[in-house]
Amino acid sequence: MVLSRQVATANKMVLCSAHTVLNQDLIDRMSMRGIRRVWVDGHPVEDATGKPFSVALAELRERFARCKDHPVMRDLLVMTERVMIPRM
Amino acid sequence: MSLPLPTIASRVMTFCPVSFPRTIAKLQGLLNNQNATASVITQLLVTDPLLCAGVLGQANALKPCLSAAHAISSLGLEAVQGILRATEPVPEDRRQLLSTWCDEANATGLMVRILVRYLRGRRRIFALQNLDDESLHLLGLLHNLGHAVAIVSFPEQYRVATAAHTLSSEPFRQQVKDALGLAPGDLGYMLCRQWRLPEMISLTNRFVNHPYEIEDSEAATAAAVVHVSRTLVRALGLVAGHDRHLDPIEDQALGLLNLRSGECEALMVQFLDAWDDQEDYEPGGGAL
Repeated sequence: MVLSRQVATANKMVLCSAHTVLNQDLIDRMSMRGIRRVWVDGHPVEDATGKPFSVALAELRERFARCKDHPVMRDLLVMTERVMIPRM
Repeated sequence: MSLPLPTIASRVMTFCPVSFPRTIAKLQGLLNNQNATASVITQLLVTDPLLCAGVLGQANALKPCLSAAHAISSLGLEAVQGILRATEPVPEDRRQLLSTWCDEANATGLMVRILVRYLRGRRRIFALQNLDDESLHLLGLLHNLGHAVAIVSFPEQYRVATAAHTLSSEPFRQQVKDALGLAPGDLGYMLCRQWRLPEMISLTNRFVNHPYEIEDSEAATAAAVVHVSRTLVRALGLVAGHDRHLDPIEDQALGLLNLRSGECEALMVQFLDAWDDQEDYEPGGGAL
């Protein structure tokens, strides 16, 4: 894997420049400095756990199935759908 | 068939922290590395509810403490090493369940921070003023310890509760109570007392589903914040184990916080943006 952006600490000290090839030693050193995420070249691998839209929507409604008569929860279901559907 | 209370109590008394092998290895690596700073160790520790509870409890037994950073500095890294040595890897057959519980706990911690910031900005609550972001995160992170104890130490009863839940309209916590003899909230409260966790966290574990029953207004506000936060993250799909159905949000909890239900949408949007963007926690499989 190759870095697509430089890696810097919170106080802007650059640890690795862009286009550096990552190896285990570099990853360990960055972990010690509190780096949790880096940008790498390439395309993301498709999420193996990604669910089809219909399944995700059915699961959302199922979570509310036992409280759909509660007025606050009815509103909350509508709000949750508005928030989640564009992200599904 | 539920278990006798002494049997439950003895298992809780001997309950050791468990964690995911990857977290144990990462934390061990950091503790063995002299270049790793305490803040990096704290960042990792506060993503693991049971390990964090173990460290916090030991520090709180010496001096009241509601911060992992303070707990580490007051105990010292040697003591954290000792807790890590006593930590067992989660049995493989329970890792997936415990990983969903861990996600719910971390998500609740994040939502508690977002909700309190929102309420403080609008001068809706005046309690919890002394709690910084990390302490607020711990309130959410450690609110449901009983569920983890049920998964790890009472697997047979947990399976019975899961099977019963699919056939009944009762809340999952009631099914656990029927199968085990104690609801997760009471189990969590028992563990909190055993591990000497701060009173606010103990009370939140016990009363998260009915926060208005707490007499102390500070602790009641804390439990109400966690109650609302937990409901919102569960609505978004971050549910622990087989506890998949939402319970109604308590009107009194919203009243305690002067929060209108219509305001929850903006909180959920803020949460999802922050959850996708967070640096310190890898949701789902990251814990495995």
